[in-house]
Amino acid sequence: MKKTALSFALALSALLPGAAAGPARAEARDADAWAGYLDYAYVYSSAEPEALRKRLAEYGREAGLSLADYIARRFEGPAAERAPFDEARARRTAIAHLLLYLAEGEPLELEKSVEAARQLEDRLGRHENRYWYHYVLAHRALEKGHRYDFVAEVLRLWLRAVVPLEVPYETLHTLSLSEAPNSGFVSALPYLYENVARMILIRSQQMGLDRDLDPLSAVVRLLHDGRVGAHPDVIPAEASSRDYLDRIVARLNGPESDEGSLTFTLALFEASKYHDQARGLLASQGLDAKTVEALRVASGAYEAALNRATTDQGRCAVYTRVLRLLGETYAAKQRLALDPEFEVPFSIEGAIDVYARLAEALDGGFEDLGYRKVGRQAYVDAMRGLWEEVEEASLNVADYYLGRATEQRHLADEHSRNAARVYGRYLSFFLQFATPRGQEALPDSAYFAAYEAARGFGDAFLGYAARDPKPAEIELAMQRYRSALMLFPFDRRIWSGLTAALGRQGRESEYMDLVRPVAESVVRSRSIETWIRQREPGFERVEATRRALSDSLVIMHLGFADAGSVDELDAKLGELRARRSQTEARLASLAGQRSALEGGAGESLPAAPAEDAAPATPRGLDRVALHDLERQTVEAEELLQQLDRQIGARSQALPLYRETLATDGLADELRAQRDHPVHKLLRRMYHENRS
Amino acid sequence: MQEHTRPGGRRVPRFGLALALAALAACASPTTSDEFGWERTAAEKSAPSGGESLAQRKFELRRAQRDMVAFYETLDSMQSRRDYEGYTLFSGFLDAYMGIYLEPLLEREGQSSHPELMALDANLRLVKAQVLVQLRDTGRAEDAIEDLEQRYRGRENMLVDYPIGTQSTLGDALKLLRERKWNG
Repeated sequence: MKKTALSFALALSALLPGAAAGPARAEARDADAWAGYLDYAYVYSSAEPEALRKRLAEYGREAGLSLADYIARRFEGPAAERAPFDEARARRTAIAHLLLYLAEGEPLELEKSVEAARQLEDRLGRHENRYWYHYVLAHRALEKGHRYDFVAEVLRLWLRAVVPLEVPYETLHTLSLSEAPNSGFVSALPYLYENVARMILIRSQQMGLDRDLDPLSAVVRLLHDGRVGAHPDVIPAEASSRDYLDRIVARLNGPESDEGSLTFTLALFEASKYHDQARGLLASQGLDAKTVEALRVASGAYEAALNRATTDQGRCAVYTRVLRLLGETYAAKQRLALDPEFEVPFSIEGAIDVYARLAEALDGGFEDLGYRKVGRQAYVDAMRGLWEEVEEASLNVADYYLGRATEQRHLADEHSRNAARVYGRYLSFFLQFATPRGQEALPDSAYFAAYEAARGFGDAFLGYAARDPKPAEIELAMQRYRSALMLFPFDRRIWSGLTAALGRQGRESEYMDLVRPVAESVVRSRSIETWIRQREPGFERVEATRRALSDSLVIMHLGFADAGSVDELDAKLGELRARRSQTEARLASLAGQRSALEGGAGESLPAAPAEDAAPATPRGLDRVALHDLERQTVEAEELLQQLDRQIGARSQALPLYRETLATDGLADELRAQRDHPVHKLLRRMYHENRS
Repeated sequence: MQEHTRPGGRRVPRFGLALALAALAACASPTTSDEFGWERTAAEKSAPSGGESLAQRKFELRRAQRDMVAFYETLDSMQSRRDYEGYTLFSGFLDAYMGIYLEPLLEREGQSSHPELMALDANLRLVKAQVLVQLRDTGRAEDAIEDLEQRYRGRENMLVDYPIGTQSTLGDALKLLRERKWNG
């Protein structure tokens, strides 16, 4: 904004007739050149103090004396006091002191300006006098922090100085006479619009006026409606506050409003600016002292905005933005491995409370929460926006704690439990609202976030805590892993996480019982079937997982194998095939031996000797050998069958398992993209399972 | 006589400008009596509009309607948020605005029957009545409704911008406005 204001001042200075022109420069040397500069002060009086100081200094050089000296010479001293009242002199005195106040910030100058302006009270028939009179008094109200006086003065200024000029200006403008030399104060109208806009939107905030400005929202709307920025021939677009006004009015009328409150809109807008500054510092300087201070200022500004909010619409807007600040801060802490002292007076619980209140109106009554003007869709979108920030902040905060648990092993238990607590809170939030009634106000990404929280919860206990988890904690972690599987079965790693948890309790054998329902729900899912049939985005990977989960051997592989062991599994399949070849060869050999023995006996042997048979003879020995050969043959045949089964099963399962490896990147993609199409599939699957 | 001087420019008598403005805005400005100290004649007030002056009149009516809608929105917003101090302050401003600028604009008899102005005139009167309802000034609201009924009798099927932000026939709009007057 400062940049805009500066460019505004510079552009305005260029507009001043004769300000820097050659022939005019000589004339401006006239001792009364200041009178001209003061008469046109409406052109440049809204400039930022630094630009204004430069402008006044330049005029001083051109006039041959500074403004302060001009005031002393013309408006003060015994001669001036003796002089009869002069309306123009009184007005210029008020303007001159006001300019010094605006440039230097000296309140005494403002008082002198007010004193001079008061002398015009019975000369307010003249629009120029009216304008400066109310403009000076409005500045005084700002300086004193008298908010009602400020509002009243601006309304009076509008009513008495601006509105009466509008029709004459339009008439002159239509006739292309609005900038004619003799158009008088009427031609000032575009500048008056700018000045009023800047006083309400910028100056009031710089002076810390942060409440009870709402009657001025009417003036702001009027300024926005074909007034500010409507005269680019007079004030160039880049020098106008039009863009700023556009953004303010969009907020005022939009879903991030507090039912049309200007006070709130300005407060939130200021906070957003501080947030942007802090974000810029975070990106360029990391978490140094300056950034931390900027974050603190932004957070304080958000707190001020929250205090100004009177509706849940306003509170939702503040929390949506401040949770982003919170999430960004924790992400930076984790990324930079720094943990500066920095308190944010907001909590995720506060945001959840606001969400819960908003959710109560899903069946009706959202208008009473502040969304009357923007409609139901905006209300639902606002809830989704708030949810997204709750999920993002929760995951960032929990990630931060897990990161700390790794870095500070002596505090690993505390950090991992903090992470589990944050994940648990998100899961409770999710379970409370991911219902048929509440799901409308959940973003698609809420389901994957729930998966991340469930998995993170398990990881916090089983992967990050320093001491061995208690049985109850392991049990809880196991349940969370299983929930994670139900929410997002396409992450191969979560299956092995579950077996690891089971292994901690020696309960690996329960694996299949636990995961079979998950696998069945995937195989039978109508949502998945439709997704694949309609060839929705990513359907190939979804289909691969579904195929894999239809095979119990693959499910076992998912639980007990890891990606690196695929080659090993391939090698074992090769071994099985080799063993089968060996077994086949052995069977052939056994068949040969048997033929040889049977050929020597000349007859086929009975299966068993008769009861009255004579004791074993050499011929009896052949019979024993034959029996032994038959036993070996049966065993080899059984082995062959077993090998065939194993080879068959593994030949089928291994390619399917290998296919599941191709789904590995999906979780990362969903994490990075809130609008990834597969989020929609997860939503459908969740509600299908729940139904 | 005051003189107006641009920096480095020539001095120009302002009275000449005032005369030029008065001539240009004779049938356009509702506030010339305050500015220049003379009243416009009845003939000037109700003179048939045409050409540039008609365009000017349309512009004024449209702008006044949009301004009144902005005032209504502000009033409505403050009422919803129970901002009583702001409401009181703004009500005073609105009263003055309507008295000084709106009423003179609506006093021009010709525009209620002018084919190109009547809809704009009716729209402005409706939003004025709505603002009066919002101000809980039921007496003046009722006067405004009755005035609309009388002024536009037989033209109730005319399409108007009411309720604010939508459209309906004048007959329906008046019915709705009266209901709102009683419901507050």
